Amino acid sequence: MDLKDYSGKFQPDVKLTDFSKEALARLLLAAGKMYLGADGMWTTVIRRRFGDDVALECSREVWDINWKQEVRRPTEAMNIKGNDIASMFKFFQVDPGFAVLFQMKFELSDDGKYGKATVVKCRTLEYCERHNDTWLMNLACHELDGKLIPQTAHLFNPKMQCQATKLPPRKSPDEIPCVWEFWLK
Amino acid sequence: MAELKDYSGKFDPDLTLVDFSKEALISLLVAAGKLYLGIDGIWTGLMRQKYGDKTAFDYDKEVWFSKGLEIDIKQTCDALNIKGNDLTALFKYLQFGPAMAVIYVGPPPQFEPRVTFELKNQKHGIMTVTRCNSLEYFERHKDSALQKMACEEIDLPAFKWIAKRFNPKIEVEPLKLPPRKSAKEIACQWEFRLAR
Repeated sequence: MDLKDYSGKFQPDVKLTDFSKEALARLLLAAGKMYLGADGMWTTVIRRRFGDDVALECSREVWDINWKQEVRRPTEAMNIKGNDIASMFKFFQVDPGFAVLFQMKFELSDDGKYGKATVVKCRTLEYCERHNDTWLMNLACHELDGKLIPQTAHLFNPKMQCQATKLPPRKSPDEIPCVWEFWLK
Repeated sequence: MAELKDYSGKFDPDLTLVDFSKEALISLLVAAGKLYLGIDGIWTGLMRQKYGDKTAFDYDKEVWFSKGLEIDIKQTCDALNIKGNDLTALFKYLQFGPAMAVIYVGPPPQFEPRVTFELKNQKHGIMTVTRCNSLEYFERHKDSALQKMACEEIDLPAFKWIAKRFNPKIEVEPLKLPPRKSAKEIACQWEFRLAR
């Protein structure tokens, strides 16, 4: 059985393995949206009750714990091993909080010692722009990703260096959201 | 390209999700579901430390009942094209919600469901959670406050809310809820009825 969706009859014994890969990929994308969405809703609740500064502090504390989970779970699920830039890019590609959600492009030098990850389309940035929420953009892009992506590089390999060469805000939606470069010393 | 069973091989910059096997995609989906529910748990835990149980649990309820459940239903049903307002539509959603039955599955390659559904007729159905990761976590950490909050203050009203969202005439009652006397017992069981 290879169900393209679940528009048909209810089947009590249907399993995930009965769905097509396209249906599973759509459900995975939905899960990624809900994952970052749940964090966003918590941030909103705390921001509403305690203001921006407390929300920022709490969000930092949450991600201090969560970022390692976000690395561990997908790498274990997909059996990604290794400590080079290619291994980290493999993780980025399957991360439900990163390239599963956002359109990304990856470039790797022939010797594997230099890599560039470009976020071509970012739902989070588009949300912030739509709501004119520069505080949230600063939280997501600078306070969290600005620190967690270099930390992720360091986790894969302490000799890996990372620098964001382009970050929001941007002047127009035609501009790319962000670019990250990585070097292995 | 041959279907990939995992991503242990070479980095491919042009890889897309459908290049993976079903088994790999399901493993990643389960990981995503755990991250989704997990980040809620991390937020709740932090709020408990800072403001105490009652405040933390109130905020958690606010997250889920203000927007969280609505988004969960929409995202899941859109992804799988689930439509309708009867018990079967509700059960289809519950079978594959990433924070629900999707994370309660056995190991690969079968991913045997640990939440089962029985439709006795079009107006009466039973959902049974045979094994629950969350309950096992609460039991392991002897955290009865969190267990009570999750099962009675979130899940119970959440299932009622979700059912009403599908159809205001659907009623939900728990037939069995934790705590349980032994790990051999099922985790919980719920009865759904579509009233006339």
